[in-house]
Amino acid sequence: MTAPAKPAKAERLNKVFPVDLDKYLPELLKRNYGRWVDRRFHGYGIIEHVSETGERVFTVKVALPPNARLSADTAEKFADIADRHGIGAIRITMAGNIEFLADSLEAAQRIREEVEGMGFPVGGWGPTLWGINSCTAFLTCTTAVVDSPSITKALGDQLYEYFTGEKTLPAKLRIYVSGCPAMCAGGTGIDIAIVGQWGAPPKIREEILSLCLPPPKALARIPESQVFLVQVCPTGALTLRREGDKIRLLLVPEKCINCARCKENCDAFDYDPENVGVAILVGGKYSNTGVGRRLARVLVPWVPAVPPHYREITAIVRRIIDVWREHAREGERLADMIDRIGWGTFVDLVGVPVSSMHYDRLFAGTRWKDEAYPSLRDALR
Amino acid sequence: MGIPEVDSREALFRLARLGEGERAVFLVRDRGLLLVSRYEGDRYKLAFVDIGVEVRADVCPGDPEEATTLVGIMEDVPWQGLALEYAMALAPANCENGVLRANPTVKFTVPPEWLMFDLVAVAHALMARGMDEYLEEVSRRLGTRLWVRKIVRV
Repeated sequence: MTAPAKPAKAERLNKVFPVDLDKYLPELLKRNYGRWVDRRFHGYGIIEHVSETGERVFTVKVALPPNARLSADTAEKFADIADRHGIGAIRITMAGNIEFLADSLEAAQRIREEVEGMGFPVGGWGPTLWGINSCTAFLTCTTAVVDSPSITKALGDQLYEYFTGEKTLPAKLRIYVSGCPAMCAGGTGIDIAIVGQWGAPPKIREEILSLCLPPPKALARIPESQVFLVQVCPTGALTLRREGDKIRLLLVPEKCINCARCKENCDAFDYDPENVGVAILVGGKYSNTGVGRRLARVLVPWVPAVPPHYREITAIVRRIIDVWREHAREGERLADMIDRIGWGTFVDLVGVPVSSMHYDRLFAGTRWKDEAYPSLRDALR
Repeated sequence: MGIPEVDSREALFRLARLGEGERAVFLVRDRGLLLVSRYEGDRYKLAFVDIGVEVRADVCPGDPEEATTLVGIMEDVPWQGLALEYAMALAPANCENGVLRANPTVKFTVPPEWLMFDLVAVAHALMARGMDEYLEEVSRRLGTRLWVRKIVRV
């Protein structure tokens, strides 16, 4: 008697990952894989790679909207451009740009004209802004503090000329905006990092808090240390208070470090969406060039994040870039310049106030009013 | 010139200015903490002295700070997924006529990017949460009762 035949796996289960590298490569790239011998730039948005076979490929780099969010309609238009003018290939880069591949400079120029006509800037190579990375923030994240894509948009609008190369920089510049300190879509190994932070402890919304607590009778019987919401607070800022036969959950602000762990576990904890800010870090990079790899250091521990234009943040970032442009040597990354001139000199040149009073003043009653912004920006000059 | 008085947020701004090897001392008035800091290029060494509390014991160990140091780790501090290693000690300590007088202090060493967190609030929270337990353990270690005095500014 023979064993019954083993049923064939469904085709999808027979797939082996990762897919072979060359499986979906365009023929032009497959023919020249590993054989590239030279490259040259045509402006800051087109790079030409030359193969030892004599074949060439031209890549057009185009900035995408923050967090690389595209409508299906725009993605289809991009695919159509890649088919009509290019070799039918596009690539999304780690800096949040899209690259179109073409087999001639003329075709690359046509791609450039067409995407610029759609309103997308072309650039991002050489001594320019290579892109602004952003996490997804509120679109899909439950932890986000600030809307990093909208900060990215505000920065992109301010720094547009540095991407296209209309204004050049001493070296490449990369910026990352993170909605919270988790920084899951990037890190501090980058020239400028902007990281969202809560400004004050949350308030408890009593009317829905009971949904996060055991039923009242059970709550009365179990020890405080076993109540889930008490457990999730790492610093013990959440405590139960018995008032007669009622039990209340209290938040002790002095013990709260704004880690948002309570909010992660229960929707009854509301942070003030107006009292949020960011830390600004500078001088990180993953490149081995210059002083080598290093993580960025905090330059500004906290500055208000005020939508829609985030003027305080963009003012500081522009100031950092201005100082870098003025004092860097050609080809010197921000980290290398800071290393050469010294941190203290750099901080003095940027002119960040030693006191936080300019920021605090915003929260003392005049916050969010336009007239408060100029004084902060003046303080940074 | 006295020790500069700053608030919590300003303390962070001042720490951000420190160059490698520089040391700074501030009185963080809104938390009642004396902040002693040193930036070592790849990390901040921070000590927060609770100047509002004085601890007295009728015993004088050879090295009071060493004898009263307890180390701990706080998960999810200062942010979810991170962990903070810290030490609590009675320091600075003064021993005279067999009597130890000292302030409770919390110390930790953090990477430069952690200055994005309110580290003063973290230190304050560590003290607020763990002080009773810490003093009980120190009392057991030293084998004597501790007298704790709260100093109130009027």
